[in-house]
Amino acid sequence: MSRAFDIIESYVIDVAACLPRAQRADVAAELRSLLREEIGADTPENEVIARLRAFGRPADVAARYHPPYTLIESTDTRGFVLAAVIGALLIPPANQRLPLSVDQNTASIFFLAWLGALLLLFAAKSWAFRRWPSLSRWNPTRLRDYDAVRMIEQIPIVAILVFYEAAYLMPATVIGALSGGNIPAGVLDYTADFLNPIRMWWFALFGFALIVLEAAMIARGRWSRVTRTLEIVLFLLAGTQLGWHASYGDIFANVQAEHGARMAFQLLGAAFVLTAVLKIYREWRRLPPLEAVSVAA
Amino acid sequence: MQKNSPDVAFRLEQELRRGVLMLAVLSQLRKDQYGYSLRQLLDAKGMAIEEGTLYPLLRRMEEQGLLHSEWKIEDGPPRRYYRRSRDGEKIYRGLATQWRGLVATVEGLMEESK
Repeated sequence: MSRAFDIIESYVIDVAACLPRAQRADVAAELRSLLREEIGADTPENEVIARLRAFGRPADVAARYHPPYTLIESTDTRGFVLAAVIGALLIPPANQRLPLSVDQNTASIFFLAWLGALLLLFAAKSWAFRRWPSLSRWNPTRLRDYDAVRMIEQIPIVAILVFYEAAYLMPATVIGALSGGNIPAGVLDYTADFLNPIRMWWFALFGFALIVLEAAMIARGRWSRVTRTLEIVLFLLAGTQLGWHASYGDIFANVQAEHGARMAFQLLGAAFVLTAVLKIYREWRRLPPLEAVSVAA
Repeated sequence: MQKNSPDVAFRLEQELRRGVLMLAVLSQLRKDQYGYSLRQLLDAKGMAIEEGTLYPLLRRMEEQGLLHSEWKIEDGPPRRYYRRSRDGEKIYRGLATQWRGLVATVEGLMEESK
């Protein structure tokens, strides 16, 4: 066989390797025959290589014969990244000072396992959509005006925030009352270090500001861009502050109360931060109102 | 004009051609042709198609039932010859009618914009 035909043969083998088994022999035979006729047996080696390179990379050529399927559709990339980030946020942190934490290696394993699970999930979705195209059909969702204040939601939010604030400022009174007086005196007294202005009072301040904001919305009836942004900032600041308390400790002198408080602060802080993340996502999805679109006169 | 406009123009031209490739190929396959001879035939009639595009297209058209193929030995090595199938014949006639209508409409639109 001529050198040109040898090079063509190696190209055909590489193309065929990227094709489904059932198609390989037939496509290879036709491609070999066509390329031999196109290029010829006596063409110099470098010209043969240049012609084959112009024909396309073997994987690209194979894809033209048989379009390959994708594990994750390009249209799902945004959803995949978002799910990966949310999953990463939910993994117990690797900060060993926090009561609910895992070591660095376990956190990495959790994250990789989450990515693997997501990959399988999105691949299954992609397969199901190919198999049953009607599944991917768009359906309208009920429009919701997130700026309108709903009393049925807003009043409980204010009540919960007032409870948090009260329990934070007067743990012995509030939690003691909830326990039916079963907690001995002094167990829920803050340490002198925690009562230090730079430790305790920041969350009290952010919590109070949140209560005022949420209560004001009951009176106002509608959220605006400024109040929405303020709410997100306050949730983030309050959540971060609680996370710091959980990490730093030295809240109660009593060991059990200290452990319980740090755990509660960590969970509550995570809930505040996740609420802020959800609200940021909602802002990101928000479309500008029609009157905000500039129209050429 | 933007810096990349020649690139955009090239891509638009490619897209335009891609849309009519199938019709061009179907038009020439009333008689048996193999890949290389079809490419030369189209080239001679002013419709140059890269081999890397044409050969896989023939296979895909056959999978869609538009073409029928068979291996034959005529004057040379064994070659795979293609021609329009019965379904391909019907679809070609429909596409040709659509194409003529489309050309007339677009011509009219372009005349208006002169």
